[in-house]
Amino acid sequence: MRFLVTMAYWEVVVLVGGLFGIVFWKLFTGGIPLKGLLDGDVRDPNSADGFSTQASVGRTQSLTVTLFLALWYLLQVIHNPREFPRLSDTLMGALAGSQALYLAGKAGAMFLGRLRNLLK
Amino acid sequence: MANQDNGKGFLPIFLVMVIVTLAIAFSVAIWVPGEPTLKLRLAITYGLLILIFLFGFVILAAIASGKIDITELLEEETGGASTSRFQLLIFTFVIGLSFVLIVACNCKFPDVPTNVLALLGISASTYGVSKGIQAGAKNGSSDTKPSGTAINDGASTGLPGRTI
Repeated sequence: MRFLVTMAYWEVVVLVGGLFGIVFWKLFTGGIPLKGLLDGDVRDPNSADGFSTQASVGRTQSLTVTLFLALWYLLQVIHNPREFPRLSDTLMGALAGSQALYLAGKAGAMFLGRLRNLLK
Repeated sequence: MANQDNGKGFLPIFLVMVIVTLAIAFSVAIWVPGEPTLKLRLAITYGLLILIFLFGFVILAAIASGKIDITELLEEETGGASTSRFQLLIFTFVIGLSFVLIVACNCKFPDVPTNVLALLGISASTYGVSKGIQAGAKNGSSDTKPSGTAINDGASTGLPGRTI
């Protein structure tokens, strides 16, 4: 029975590790393109399809907060792999605020367009 | 058509997997000493373990070789990578990896605190709302913009700006 547990453990390690490895390998080698990750669509009446692509501060801050929180969480688990780490309300609030800001910015850009166009 | 061809390609692999699984299950049932019920339990358990591993391995191999195409995993409809998809992917991987590590250390199913569910919930909600905004904006754009009609004739004033 001990062999069965060891075998199940290594099976999960190979499959889950393999999936993570392949996805990250494709991300780093460009197999999964990250082009335009920080660009957002903005309503633009001058564009042929009604939208143009611009660099987005909302996306940049959302990505920064996400990467920071994910790295912090992973380090906590590696440090103490006995239980899921407790996330403080501050961190949860920061993540929720960051995502809300990103969504508000996206909604504004998609529905209203640039402030300059509104004021024209 | 391409999907049908892929399905045909996987059929022999599927048959080989089932045959290997049955062979291992029978080997365990015949050669492992013990009570008949224990042998049966072990044969089924080993068989399922091998079958799940082979299924997973074939899927991983297909992803790695490009037979299962994941190049558009992060892509939006309009082209370009999506931030909401990327952060959902990152959090799913982090929680998944944490789960595996914790189960491996404790050898039992761990208690999942509410803040972990909240973390995934925020991440998934962001993705969902983002898709909703995108779909709503595109629909609004196609409803309000008559085809072949110039909406704004001040095209020369369009200077690059920032989203937020």
